[in-house]
Amino acid sequence: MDEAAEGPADDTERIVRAQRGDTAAFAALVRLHQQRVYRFVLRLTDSHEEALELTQDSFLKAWQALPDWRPQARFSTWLLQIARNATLDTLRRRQRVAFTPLDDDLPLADPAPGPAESLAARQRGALLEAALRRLPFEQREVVLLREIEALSYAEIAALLGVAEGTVKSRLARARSALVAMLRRTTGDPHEQ
Amino acid sequence: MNNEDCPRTVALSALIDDELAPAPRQAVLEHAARCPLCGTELAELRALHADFATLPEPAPGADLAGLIETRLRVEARPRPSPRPSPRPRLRDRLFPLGLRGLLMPAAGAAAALVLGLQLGNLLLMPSTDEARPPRFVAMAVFEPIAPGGLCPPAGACFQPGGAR
Repeated sequence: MDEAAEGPADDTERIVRAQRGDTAAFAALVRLHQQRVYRFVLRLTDSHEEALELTQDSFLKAWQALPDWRPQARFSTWLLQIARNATLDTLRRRQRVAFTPLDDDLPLADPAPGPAESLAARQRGALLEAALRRLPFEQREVVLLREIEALSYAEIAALLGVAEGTVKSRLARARSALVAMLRRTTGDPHEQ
Repeated sequence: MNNEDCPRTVALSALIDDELAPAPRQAVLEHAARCPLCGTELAELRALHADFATLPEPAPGADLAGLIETRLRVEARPRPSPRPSPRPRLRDRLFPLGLRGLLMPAAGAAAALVLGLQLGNLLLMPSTDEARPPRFVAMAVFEPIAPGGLCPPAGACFQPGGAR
């Protein structure tokens, strides 16, 4: 991860400077976090152009809301919350939060074993991405926040504004749906 | 089989995330070791978790930081404040159309005045022509040459043998 090289202390210093109107400090924050925000939004929207636009919008909103940021909130989580809300607004406006049924046509995996382990991994990855796209928005966001962004249940609950128990059950439901979809496409229990 | 609402699935999922307290965690692990259904499901959840770690890392492919910084600088740049407009002069307030707006109505008014004076003079000026007494020409019909006539018959103008 690009932001891994820099710690939260660097973030805080830049944030304080950005709060005083230092655009260069804010640009450094964007550089650190843009990939994280982009990949999260991309997997929510399934569109590169839309994700690019929403990522920019999210950072501009963050710039405007920066005076309200408090050190108690992790900056990256705060950014993801802004991005998530912006994405949800956009998808609602375009009425694209309609959720697809789960018993659908996922791409079939090649039944023959791949010549290399990397090929098999790529195939599994492609299947998983396709299965993710079929998840309802509220399950997809929770599984992305946990599996990709590695947020704790408490952080996810705070970000989504729901109880931790809701995160726990929603996550279990999302994983169960993903496993079921992958099992159907491969025909085998989803095990490595 | 649909396990998504099964409390066992919720516990197994939380186990994967290391979000269980030590005692429940131990209990779930022991159960999964004995129960083939839970054992299979736990293996599937672990495989799914491992698959997520192999997903590619999509990149925006553009320097958003540069774009955003430029945009913020442009928006933050103080805009030149519009110069205060000077107080409009009296002439401008009276004649907002300028000199042309002043001359056009003045010329029209002058022409109307001159024409009015001319007409007034004509009416007031005493007439120089004396009234002529009417000419009575009614009896002229009795003259040898009728009014407007050219000549009477040729014999009437030239009497034979001399002047009349």
